[in-house]
Amino acid sequence: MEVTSSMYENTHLYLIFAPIVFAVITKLIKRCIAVEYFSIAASFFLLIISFNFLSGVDSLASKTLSSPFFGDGLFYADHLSAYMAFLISLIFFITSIYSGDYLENEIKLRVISERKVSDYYFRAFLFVSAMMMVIFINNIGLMWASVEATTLISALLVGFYNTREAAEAAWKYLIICTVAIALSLFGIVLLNYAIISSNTAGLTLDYSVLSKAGKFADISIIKFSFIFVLIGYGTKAGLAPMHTWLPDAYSQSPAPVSAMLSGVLSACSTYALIRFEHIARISTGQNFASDYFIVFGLLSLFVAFPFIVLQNNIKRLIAYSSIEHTGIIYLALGFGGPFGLIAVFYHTFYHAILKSLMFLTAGSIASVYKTTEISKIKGLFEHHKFLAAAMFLGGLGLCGMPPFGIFFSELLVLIAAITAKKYTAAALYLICLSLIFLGFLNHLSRMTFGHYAKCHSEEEFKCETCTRATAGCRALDVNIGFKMKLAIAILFILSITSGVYMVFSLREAMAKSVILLLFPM
Amino acid sequence: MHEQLSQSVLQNVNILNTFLLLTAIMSVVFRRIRSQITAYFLQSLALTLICVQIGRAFDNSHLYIAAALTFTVKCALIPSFLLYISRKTMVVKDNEKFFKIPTALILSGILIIFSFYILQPINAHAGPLTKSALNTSLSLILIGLLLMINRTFALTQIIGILIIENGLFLAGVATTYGMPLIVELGAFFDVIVGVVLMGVLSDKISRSFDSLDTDKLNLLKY
Repeated sequence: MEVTSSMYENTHLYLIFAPIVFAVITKLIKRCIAVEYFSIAASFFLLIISFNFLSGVDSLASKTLSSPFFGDGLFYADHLSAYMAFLISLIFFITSIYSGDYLENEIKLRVISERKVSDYYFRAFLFVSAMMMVIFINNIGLMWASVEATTLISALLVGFYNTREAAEAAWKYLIICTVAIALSLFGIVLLNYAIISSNTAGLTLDYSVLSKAGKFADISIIKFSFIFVLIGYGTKAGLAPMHTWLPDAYSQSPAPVSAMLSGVLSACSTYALIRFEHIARISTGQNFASDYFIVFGLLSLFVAFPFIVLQNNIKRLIAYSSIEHTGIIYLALGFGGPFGLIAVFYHTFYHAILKSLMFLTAGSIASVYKTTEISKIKGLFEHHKFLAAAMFLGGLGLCGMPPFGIFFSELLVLIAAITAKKYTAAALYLICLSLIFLGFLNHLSRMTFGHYAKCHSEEEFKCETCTRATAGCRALDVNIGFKMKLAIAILFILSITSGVYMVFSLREAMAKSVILLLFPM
Repeated sequence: MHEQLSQSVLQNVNILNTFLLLTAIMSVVFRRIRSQITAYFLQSLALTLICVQIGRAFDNSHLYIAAALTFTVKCALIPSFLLYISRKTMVVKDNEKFFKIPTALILSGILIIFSFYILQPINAHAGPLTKSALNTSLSLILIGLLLMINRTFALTQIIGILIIENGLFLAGVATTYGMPLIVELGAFFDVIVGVVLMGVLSDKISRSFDSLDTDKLNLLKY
């Protein structure tokens, strides 16, 4: 027993520091192919140990993890962190299967040079390491520093292409998120001030201490600090009206990076916010946050709707859908209660999988059609049945059709709203969802059906469009690589099966995190 | 927190707080990038002095470390890096976007009063040192935001972020006599890496857009 327990107690160190080692190794390997296969193997390793950790997290004796070199209490793990770590490594594994073919394709098209491939993997591994740091760190202040570190590293990934658009997107992302995160540091400083002025012995900024501390602070100061933290982490998660960086960043970064940003990075900052809200709730003994969550969540749904309906860029369409889903997650947080919290975790999981599916498929479609404009993508079903199926069905799933999981988690949000007696919010939520569903379906059917070559040659300006259409037709014969197809297929199967059946240890981790957040003692 | 501060320390810190606000307003007024960097340098110097004062008053050795870090990073490394970038991108002057300079000056005064106003519920229980420092730090944050909104050049926006960061650091030092050291180290690391990244990015922007004017970053819409 001793041995197994200590094994689990060190897993978090592997999850945090192994990616850094892998990052250095990718810089040392010369050949592109070797780097690609190495990173698939390495991310598979991370997936295995994080799954192992997920099933073994019950046996952890203490929640704060003692570790060699770092002393006691620097790291902390419970079911929630195990769940998040598993989600990150799952999405990272699938995107790294995909990125090999994607980058080869970009080299063929001369978008990037071969030298940049190892750059990409280097940054991706560091990015994963920073996210794992957010998940496992105990100190709220250091958690802030790790969230800021994820911003800095992912800005490098957003600005990966050497285009003007990418530079613009990276600049906006970096500036807006850095300022926002700075505001949340102000909130954390105020929390620290509340801790010190409470004159309670033994209180530190550690989550493991604060979550057991009981009521110690005045509500006015904690409320003030919570608003700053909400603005900061909410901006990073893509909450309206601070979302302006999001469509730019998601649409300009490489497809696997968009999948990671949307699937897990926004979940990471929501995770940091959930931890902070838990502490705020305990330290004041009052639940004051739910109204803020509901207002911002509904606002995100409202803002997302017109942009989804009028969108003409496939990647931006999916990005605005991310804003919508962030809104849903915050609504669920606001409704609270057991239903609301379990809906948060289920929705985060399903959204991560389906959104990665959509971004990866959109990346493949963009590389086939050489454009991201929805009006120029036609006849997908005629030319690429596989991509068409993934796009159309994945899109339906994203809008909340059964048997995809999002249907169930959105239903849970509704149940939570009714249990919390927030009928107006529930009605607005349903209206927004159905409107967004209509808008999304319109774009999906425009892309999937119809004829590609025909619609171009029958247009009025023949000379110009004909040449473009024939060039396009030749381009459509381009085969998408096996690994791309594999990654999309894995995600597709996962998204359908997880809606019907969820692995036991994952279900248990989510349920226990809800208990953990609801009953602090 | 019992504040057994001698009157002279309190006075010194208050003077330095005022000086911090003055330098922040200077950066709202100045147009030349070099003067902006000088104002930032002076502000960081005042912050270092506040650190030393409070460290001496409470006999807290880790505030001395924080002061040394502030001096090396914010007075030496970051200003020289910014000067290097401004020389490389050949930006001399900046222009205003929404408000002319006199209006911006009045606005920053209003922001200072506003931060006094919204901090009232917290200040009701706070000691004299915390009171003035919290007000100053929130004012610095708001003025930094104003600077970022009102100026168009990338370098000024970086300086705006740095002013906001100075405000946060002041809040950390003066309300709680320093965040835990490891948190401060993390924050410093993030600031350095962030500024370097922003510098590199603004160099990239100035090469691909032929200008550092962030108003010209309008390729991506809706």
